[in-house]
Amino acid sequence: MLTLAEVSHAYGDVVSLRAVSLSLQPGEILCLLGPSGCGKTTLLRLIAGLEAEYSGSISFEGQDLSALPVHQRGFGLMFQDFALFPHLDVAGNIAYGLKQRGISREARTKITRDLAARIGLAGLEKRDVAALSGGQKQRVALARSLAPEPRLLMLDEPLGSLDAPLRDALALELRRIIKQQGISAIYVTHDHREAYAVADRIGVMRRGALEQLDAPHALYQRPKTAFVARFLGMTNIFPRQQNAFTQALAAASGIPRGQGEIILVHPGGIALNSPPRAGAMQAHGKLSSAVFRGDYYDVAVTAAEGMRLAFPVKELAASIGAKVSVSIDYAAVIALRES
Amino acid sequence: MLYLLPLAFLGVFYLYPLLSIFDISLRPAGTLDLSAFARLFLSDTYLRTLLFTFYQALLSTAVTLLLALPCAYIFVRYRFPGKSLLLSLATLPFVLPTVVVALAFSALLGARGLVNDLLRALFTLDYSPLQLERTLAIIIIAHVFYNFAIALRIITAYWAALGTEAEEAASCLGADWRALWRDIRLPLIRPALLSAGSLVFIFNFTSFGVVLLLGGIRFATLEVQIYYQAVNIFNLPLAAALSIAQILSMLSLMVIYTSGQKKLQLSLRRGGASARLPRRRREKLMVFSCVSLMALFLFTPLLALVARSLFAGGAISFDGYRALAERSRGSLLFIPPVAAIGNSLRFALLSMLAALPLGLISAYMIHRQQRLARLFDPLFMLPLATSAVTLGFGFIVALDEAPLNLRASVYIIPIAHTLVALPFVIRSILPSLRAIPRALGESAQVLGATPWHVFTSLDLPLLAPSLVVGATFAFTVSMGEFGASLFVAQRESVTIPVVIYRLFGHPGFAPYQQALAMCVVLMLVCAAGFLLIERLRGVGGGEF
Repeated sequence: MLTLAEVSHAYGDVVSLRAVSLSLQPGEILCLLGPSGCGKTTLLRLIAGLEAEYSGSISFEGQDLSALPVHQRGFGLMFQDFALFPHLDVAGNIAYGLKQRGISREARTKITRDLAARIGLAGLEKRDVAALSGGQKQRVALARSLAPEPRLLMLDEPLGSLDAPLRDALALELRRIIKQQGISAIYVTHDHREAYAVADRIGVMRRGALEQLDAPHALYQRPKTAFVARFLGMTNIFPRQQNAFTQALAAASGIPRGQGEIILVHPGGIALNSPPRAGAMQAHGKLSSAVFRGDYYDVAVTAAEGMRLAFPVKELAASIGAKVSVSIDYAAVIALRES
Repeated sequence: MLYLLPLAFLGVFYLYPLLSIFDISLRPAGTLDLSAFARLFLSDTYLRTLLFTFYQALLSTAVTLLLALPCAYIFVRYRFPGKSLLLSLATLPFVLPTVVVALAFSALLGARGLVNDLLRALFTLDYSPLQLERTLAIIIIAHVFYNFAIALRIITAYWAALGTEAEEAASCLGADWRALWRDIRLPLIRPALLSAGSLVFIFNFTSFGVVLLLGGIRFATLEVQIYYQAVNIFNLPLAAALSIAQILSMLSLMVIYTSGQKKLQLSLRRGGASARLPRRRREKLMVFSCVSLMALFLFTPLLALVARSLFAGGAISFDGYRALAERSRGSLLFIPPVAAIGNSLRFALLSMLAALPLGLISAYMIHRQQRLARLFDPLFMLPLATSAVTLGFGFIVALDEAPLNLRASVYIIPIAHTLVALPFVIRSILPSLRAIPRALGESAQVLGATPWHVFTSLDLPLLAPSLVVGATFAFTVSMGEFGASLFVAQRESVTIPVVIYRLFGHPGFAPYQQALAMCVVLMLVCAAGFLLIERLRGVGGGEF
């Protein structure tokens, strides 16, 4: 399918991509995850052909793409703000790509109607796109990208401009529709929860480089660098040499010296006020904060050595400032690289 | 490649004539000779012309701003029925050809005008008591009439966006109404005042038709003097020197205007709408008197023009209109006025057809070539900063020998008009072009549209309203263009404004009546164009 080898790109003096290599499997949804300005959108634009100057190679099914103009690539790209054509109605938008491919009017109408029905736009074909809700616009944009049956679908923050409640539902629906069509897709987002929901594999990008590429579960369980861990929302990250406790914790967890100078304590492996047990290290400290989240509390404990551990608990009996103990599973202690 | 088209057009029909003017002025006999320039500054007459041009422009601008400021205040602070209609209609004079405005004031206040008719009838006089024709006063009044709306619009738009918070804060801190004006309002709207002032000054500085028709040679501005020197006295080097003085003054004024314009854009988009209905009696009275005075000032001259054209010798008469089809006696005109109407329509159509594609290509060039845009943008605006008289003068000195011998060609007029209309067309299209999100074109490409298809299926439909606005501008600008046409029009190819000028200058009642009738025709054409533009403004917009 799509193969990128050592792709680098710069906007003037600003380097936006540094030697990115990846390959996409047929039918796979790959998420590119990273903060704004990390190069993920640039990568999409390069694959689509909207940016021309780059080094390295981008090829699709063995064919190098560098000489292929945008309109001949047969890829779909869904823009963050959807970029619907304001002078065309819903059907006109969906059929645009079909028309460019010289498909007859009858066939266009049929494909458009079928697709609209499948994506939940039935009856809206003649609607002005300006009169649609955010969710409807997103569906039109998706239908427009899917209609010409692209060889590859790219989505640039497709839920970025929608409200949070809508996003969760639409993320799942997007995955369902893409999988149903059997299309390979690259999905760009800065929200790791969205990426977990949509992706088969997630690539985390930082400053133009691909930092880690893994399945969602593996990424969450085993982030490789401090940046990835932080970007996934984890905070219990300490230099191994911070104090006697961190050194002991790393040693007891079986992390060889010299391999992990930074350690992550996975929040799932920390328990509050539980009795000492095998395979876990006990520490004492003070409950420094507790935030009620509904189903759970986000608590933070400042251990005696000054390190702050944050994790969720189901029940909370202690009050802020109370002396507490924590037990940390050795299995939850992970060695990180400083990217 | 396509970009070369507008560049070549500007090069041949703008820069080359301009260089010819420089050449004639600096090297009248083939060697460097600065005597024309020296005369400009040494001779009392021309120095006075220069000073008078500044003086009348400054005076007109000051009066315009002084009248527009209180009206702007009313428009910003109060809501009242018919407000947007009035603001829109108030802009009508601005698009009217100068000859129409000049004759409208002549029809109202001139020796042969309605007010004098009325006074004569009322007091049974045998002379015209109101002697405004050929005075500075009527020139200033006509200039204010012309530019009032543009000043009002600029100030109102800026002021409305500022909101009232600063004023309210100052009031709470103890500022009375004098302090509010002095410390808050005037300083806050200063950028708008400067911008409106410099724009109005530019228009007044280059005013030709109004001064020539209402003032005559006694009140010669640079423009009129250039025309007089070039056509009546045939002193080309001096006319060229005057043109250069004109160009240099205009360039410096444009620099001031555009730098002010940038500040204006930077500080826009704050506060919100703050207009409310007038409540107290004093407020109602203020709004009412402002609106009625404005309407009186802006519409009486136009109504007088129509009335006067239909009113001869104390009775309703269509003689003026009927005579349009006749060829007049003597050397006054070589074709019947109705043929001039045909000429004007034909030239306007040609100018529109030329200016539209050229303007479209230029707008794309400015939009796409980000790096070069700094250069192109002012380049395409230059014709706007060069007076029509200078353009016309440049044409007759530059385009009179092979391979560009166009003096005798009828196409010289539409070419000149295209040049004058081009900045308007570009300014109409460019904002709409900039408003098309880049992602739209990219989406279309990704969906398989070739660049040409992106243009036809996306850009063209989205630009359609502004293209109509641009086309209408080109058409009306060409219909009303006077200065350049006066220079380049041949006997057979005279246009409506030129005929009006000839008829107006002719003694006697019948030619005057005909001139008025033609003015009404011209006014109706331009008003129709104006209404179309105003209707589409919301859709397509434009930046000026």
